Amino acid sequence: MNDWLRVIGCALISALLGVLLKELGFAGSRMILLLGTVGAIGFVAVCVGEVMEGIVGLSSENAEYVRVILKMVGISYVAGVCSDICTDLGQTSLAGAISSVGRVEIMILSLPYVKRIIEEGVKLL
Amino acid sequence: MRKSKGKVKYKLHKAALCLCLTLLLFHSFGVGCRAAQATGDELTDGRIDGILDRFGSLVSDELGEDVSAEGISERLGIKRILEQTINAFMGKGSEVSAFLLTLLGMALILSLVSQLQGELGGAVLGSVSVIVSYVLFDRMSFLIGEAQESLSGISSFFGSVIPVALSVNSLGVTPTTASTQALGMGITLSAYSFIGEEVLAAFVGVLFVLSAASSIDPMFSRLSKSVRNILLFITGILTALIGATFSLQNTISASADSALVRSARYAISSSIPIVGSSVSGALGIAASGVSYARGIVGGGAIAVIISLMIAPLITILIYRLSVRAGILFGELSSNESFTRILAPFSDALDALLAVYSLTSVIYIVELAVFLKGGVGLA
Repeated sequence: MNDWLRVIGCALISALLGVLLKELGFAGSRMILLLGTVGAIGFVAVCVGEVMEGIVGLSSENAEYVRVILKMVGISYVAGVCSDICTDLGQTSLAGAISSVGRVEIMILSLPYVKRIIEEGVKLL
Repeated sequence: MRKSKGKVKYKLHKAALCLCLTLLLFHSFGVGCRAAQATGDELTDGRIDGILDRFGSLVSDELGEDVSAEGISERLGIKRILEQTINAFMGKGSEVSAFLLTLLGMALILSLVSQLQGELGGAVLGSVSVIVSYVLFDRMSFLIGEAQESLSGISSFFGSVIPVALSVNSLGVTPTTASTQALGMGITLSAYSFIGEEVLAAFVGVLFVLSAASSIDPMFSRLSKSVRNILLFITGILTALIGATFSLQNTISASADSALVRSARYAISSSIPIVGSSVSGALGIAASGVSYARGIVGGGAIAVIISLMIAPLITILIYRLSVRAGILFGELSSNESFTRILAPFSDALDALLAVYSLTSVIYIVELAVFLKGGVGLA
């Protein structure tokens, strides 16, 4: 079976279980949904990781930059999903905090390049 | 009777003495003129040969290979230009091909990143733009160093041509005019080597840094445009000033020398009827020899300068074309962020191209003025 079908299957089963348990009055139904989401994302991350390593390997000269860019994209997805889960769970302030942490982390990753640009400018003066 | 005989004898003696003195004078004049003519020709020929030998060794030192007419023309021919272009794409390191692929990769990454939604998507897009700008700066900043190095080589060669040009000029024109032209060439060298290699190159460097920084804040993009406009304004003023100085210098030197040599020729041929024409003719032969030397030195130096400037010029042009191709690709794929990043770099490359070509062309124009600056003997 294809990997993407497994992911979709997992997501659908966890969604059905969550709804069923909610109907039955089970308090931890949201946890089932959460586990399903994290599992699906984790599975996709493992599959995508291999592909991304291949992309990084294509360009040996720009590997450093491509790795950082992919890391930023990954952080944005992870932070976005976490923020959405927190919102779903009713924890909006936590969702905002996760979003801010993600933005700060992305900014920290780009800071060395800002520093290099400034250094190049200072060198010329 | 005795008294009258004595008077006649005295008059005869006086006439004989006068005749002897006149003959002696004519003899001395004739010998002097011929001696002067022979010595002048030999000296001129010897000095021209010496100057040309000196110039030949200078050119062979600079080019390090064949300095024959075929060798120089081969360096400037279309075959050489095509070779340089193909080498830039497929030669050692394939720099331009790698740069084009990097541009394509960056365009794809930016296109993917711009699909991200929300605040985090915007943050990622901004940060990736900074990295892309830095990568482009990193790949293109070597062009400034290459242009500076090439200009330094050209100015160093031009500096070594000045004494040779002074020697050629000192044979053909008055020492004052020769030294004036050498002084003019020296001023051009010192002024343009400073302006081109230090001031304008620093401006272009700042322009590149501002282009890279424009992804951080759009304010830098506006600043970059202002710096570019200032740079082009200074370049325009300098071109006009140098052009005016050259034409003035050339006109004054040529008219002064023509008048001086014509009056010298007229004075010589009219005051000494028999040998005068040969002296003024010798002056004409000497001038044609000087023109020959002037042609070889001036033309050869221009050829060497073009040969030195052509490789970096092609590299800058190819990079500029690549960036323009990237902008076109961004516009066609509606990738605005990529187009916005590339546009200031394209402007910076335009400025670098303008500064590099202007500075090189000034040296060529100065040599062309020297080449054309004959004494107008005809």
